[in-house]
Amino acid sequence: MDRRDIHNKPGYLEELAKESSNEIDLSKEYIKIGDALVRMPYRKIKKVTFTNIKKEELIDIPHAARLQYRLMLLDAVIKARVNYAKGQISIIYNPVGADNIREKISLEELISFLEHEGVHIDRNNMKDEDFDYVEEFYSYAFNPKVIREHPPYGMSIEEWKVRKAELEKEAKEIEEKKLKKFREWQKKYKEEHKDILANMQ
Amino acid sequence: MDTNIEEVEEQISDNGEGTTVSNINNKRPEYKEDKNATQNPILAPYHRSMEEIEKMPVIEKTMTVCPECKLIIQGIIYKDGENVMIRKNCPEHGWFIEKYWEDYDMYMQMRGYNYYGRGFDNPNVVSENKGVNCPFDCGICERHKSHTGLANVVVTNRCHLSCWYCFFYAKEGEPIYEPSVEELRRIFRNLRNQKPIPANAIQITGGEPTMHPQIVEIIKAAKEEGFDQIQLNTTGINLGLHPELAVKLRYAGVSTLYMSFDGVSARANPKNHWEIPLVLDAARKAGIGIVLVPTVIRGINDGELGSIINFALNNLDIVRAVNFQPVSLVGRMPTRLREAQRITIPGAIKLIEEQTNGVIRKEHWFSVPYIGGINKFIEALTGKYGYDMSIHFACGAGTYLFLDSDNKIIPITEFVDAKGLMEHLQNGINEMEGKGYLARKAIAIKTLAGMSRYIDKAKQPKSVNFLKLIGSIILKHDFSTLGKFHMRTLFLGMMHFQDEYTYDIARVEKCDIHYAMPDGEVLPFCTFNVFPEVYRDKIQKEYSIPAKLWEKTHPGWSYNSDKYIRNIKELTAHPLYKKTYGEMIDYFALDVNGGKHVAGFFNEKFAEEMVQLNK
Repeated sequence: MDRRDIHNKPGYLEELAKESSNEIDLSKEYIKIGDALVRMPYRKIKKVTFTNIKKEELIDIPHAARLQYRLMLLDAVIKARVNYAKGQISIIYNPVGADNIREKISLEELISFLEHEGVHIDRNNMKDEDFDYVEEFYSYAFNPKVIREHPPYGMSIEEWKVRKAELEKEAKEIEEKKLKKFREWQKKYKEEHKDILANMQ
Repeated sequence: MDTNIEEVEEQISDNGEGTTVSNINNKRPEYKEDKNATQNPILAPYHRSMEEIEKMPVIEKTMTVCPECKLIIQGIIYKDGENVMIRKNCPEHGWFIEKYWEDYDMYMQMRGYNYYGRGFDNPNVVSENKGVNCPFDCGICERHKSHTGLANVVVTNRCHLSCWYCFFYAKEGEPIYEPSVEELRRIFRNLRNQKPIPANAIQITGGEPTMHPQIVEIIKAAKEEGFDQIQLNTTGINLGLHPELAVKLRYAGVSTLYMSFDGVSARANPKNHWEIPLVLDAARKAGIGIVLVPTVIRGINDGELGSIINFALNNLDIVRAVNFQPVSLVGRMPTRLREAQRITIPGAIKLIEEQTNGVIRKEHWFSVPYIGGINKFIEALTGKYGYDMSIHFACGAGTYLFLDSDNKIIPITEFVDAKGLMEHLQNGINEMEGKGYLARKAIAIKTLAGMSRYIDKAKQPKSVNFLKLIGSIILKHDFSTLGKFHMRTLFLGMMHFQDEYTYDIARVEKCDIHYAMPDGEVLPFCTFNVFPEVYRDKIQKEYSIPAKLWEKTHPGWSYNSDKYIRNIKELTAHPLYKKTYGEMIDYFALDVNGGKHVAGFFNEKFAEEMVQLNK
C-alpha cells in the first residue's frame, strides 16, 4: 500500500478512532537535551541483524535495494539496510511492548515478512539486540563524525593543514561581524517601524 | 485542455453567496483524453514502437527506478529528434518512456558544465553499501556529491489552502507535524555544523509556515544560528491580510518570500491571484524581496510564462527573481495525462522565447553549475570555502535580465560570453591549483585582467559597468555590490524536480537542495519528495501528533478552522487589485524591445476577466 494513498488504506479510519480514544500521556514523548525539550518518538527499541543470507535469495543488488525499500515501507521499521555483498540484513524496529505510541512489529512478523519476500532466515545467524534510539541513531545524526577533509579549491592539503586554524578563526570573525551588522540594521529597521515592533526583542 | 480551465472557473464562481470561496484549489481538473495524441508532435516521442526507439542514438546510461515497484534499473538516455528521452525496462512492469529534456543541442551544451562538488566531510549517515542501494540508503551519506546549497526545513504540515495536487499538507484526520522552536533550533544547528561548507541559505517551509504560531521566533532562531539567507516559502496570503506580520518577519531576519505564483490571470493562478496585490504591498512596506515561483504545467499555465516575467518586471522594486518549476508529476496519474502535462526546462524556455517576442531566447540561459566556476575561482583566490553550485546540469538553469534606463531588457549573455569566460576562469583555477598564496593571487590578477575580452561593453546596459562590478565581488568580496546588481536585474531560474518517471540517480546524488529532518537526517529534495513513503511522510509521522490528540491539546482548533475563506468581491474591489493587474507596462511590446504585440498579453485577459466579473 502506497503511503500516499493513506485515506484509502483499509482500517485507516479505525486506526484514527483508536488513536483518539487512547489517553496518551504526551509528556512521555519528550526528553531534555541540554536546555531543549525535544520530541523523541522512540527510546529503547530493537535492532536485528540477519547474516549469512543466501545471495540467490537476495537475487542481485537492485533486488536487495528494493527489499530494503519494502522493509522501510513498514511503519514500525525505522531503518533497514540490506547488504547484498555481505548477505546481511539489519533492521532497526519498534518492537511490540516498547513504551511509545508508534506502530509496533514483532520479530516473528519481520521474519515472516522476509519469508514472504523470498528470504529465509536461519535463526542461528540472527542477532536481536536492544537499540538505544537516542544514543545510537538520533545523537549520531545530530553530531556526525568528521570522516575526511577537503581543502578549499586551489589549496594543497599541506597548506590547508598549516593555515586551517587561521582561516577558521577568520571565518568565525566574519560570522560575528555579519551578526553585528545585522543587529545594527535591526536597530534602524525597528526605528522605522516602531508602531509594529515596539514590543519586539 | 480547455476543460481544465472550465473546471477552475467553476471552482472560482461556485461559491454559494457568489463572493466567498473555501477549500481553495481543492478540485482536480478533469482530464479528457486527446484522441489525436499520436498525431501531436509534442507527444510523438511517447508513441513510437520499441523497435523504433531502440534504434535511436544513445547519449548515455544511468541508473533509475521502476516507477511501479522501485526496483533500481538502468535508464538509457537517448536522442529522439530534438528531444532527449529516457527509457527503462523493469523485468516486472515493462517499458517506461519519458521526456528528459526537450532540446538535444541545449542538453549537450549544458552537459559541459557538469562537475562534482565536495559533498560532506561529516555525513549524517555512513553506509556500508557504498552507494549501491541509492536512493534508499539516504540520510545523507558520504557518497553524496554536493553540500547543502539550500536547506529546507518544514515547520508545520498545516495549510490554509487545500490544493488538489499537494502532498505537503495534512489532510483531514492526518497527524500534525509542528516542531517547537527548540526542536527547530537543533535542526538549524545541525545544518550549520556541516563540513566543510555549512549550510548558509535556508528555506522555511510547510504546509504554510506562517501558520506556525511561533513563526517569528523560528526566523529569529535561524538568524541567531548564523544563516545569511532566510527564505519563507509561502502562499503570501497571511502576509497580505496581516501586513504587520511581514514587518515582524523582516525584522526577525526573513530575506525573501519564496512565493507560489502560477500565472497572472485568475484562471492560471486560483491559489493566490486575488491576494497577490496585497502581498506585494505588504512586502514593499516591509522591505522583503520576493521570488515568484510558478509551477509550469503544459496545458494549464504554460501560456502565461511571458506574462509572468512581464509581471515581475513591473514589480522589479521588490521582485528579485522568477523561479519556474516545470511540474514534477509525483504520484499516480493516468499515463496520457502525464504525457500531456509533462514539460521540461527547455520546453519552458522555448515557450518563454515565443511569449517574449524573442527578447529572452534559449541561448540566453546557462546551466546552474556554470556559476560554480565563478565561486571556485573566488575560493581559490581567498582560501575561504565558497558555495559549490555543483548540482546536475539537467536540474537547473538560469539567466539574468537587466532592465536598462530606457526600459530595454538585456539578458546578461547578450554582453557576456559565458562559455568563454568560464573556460578562462577554469584555466585560472587549474593554474592556481597547489600553488602558494602569493602565486595564486598573481595568477588571479592576471586572470581578472583577461576577463575584459569576454565582456562586450557596447552591448552592456548603460547603467552597469559589469567588469567593475564583477571585479569588486571577486577582489573586494563586496557583496553589497551584488545586492545593487540584484536591484537592477531580474534573475530567471528554472528548477526541474524529478518524479519516478524522470528519476536519474546521477542527478539526485548531486542535489544541493536538502531537507533537514527532525531525526537529524538530511535528504535531497528528490529523495524526500519522490519517495515520501519511506522518507518525508514516514519520518514526519514519527515526529507528529495524531490529529485527534492535536485537537485535544489545542482547544478551539479544528481542521476547518485552519482553512482560509476568500472573499473575491472584497478583494477585487480593493484599489490595489486594479492597480497591480490593470496598469502594467507590456515590456516585450515596447519599441526598444522589439515593438510587436504579444498575443494574449495579460492586460487584455485582465480586461476580459473584469468584464466577466462585473457581469
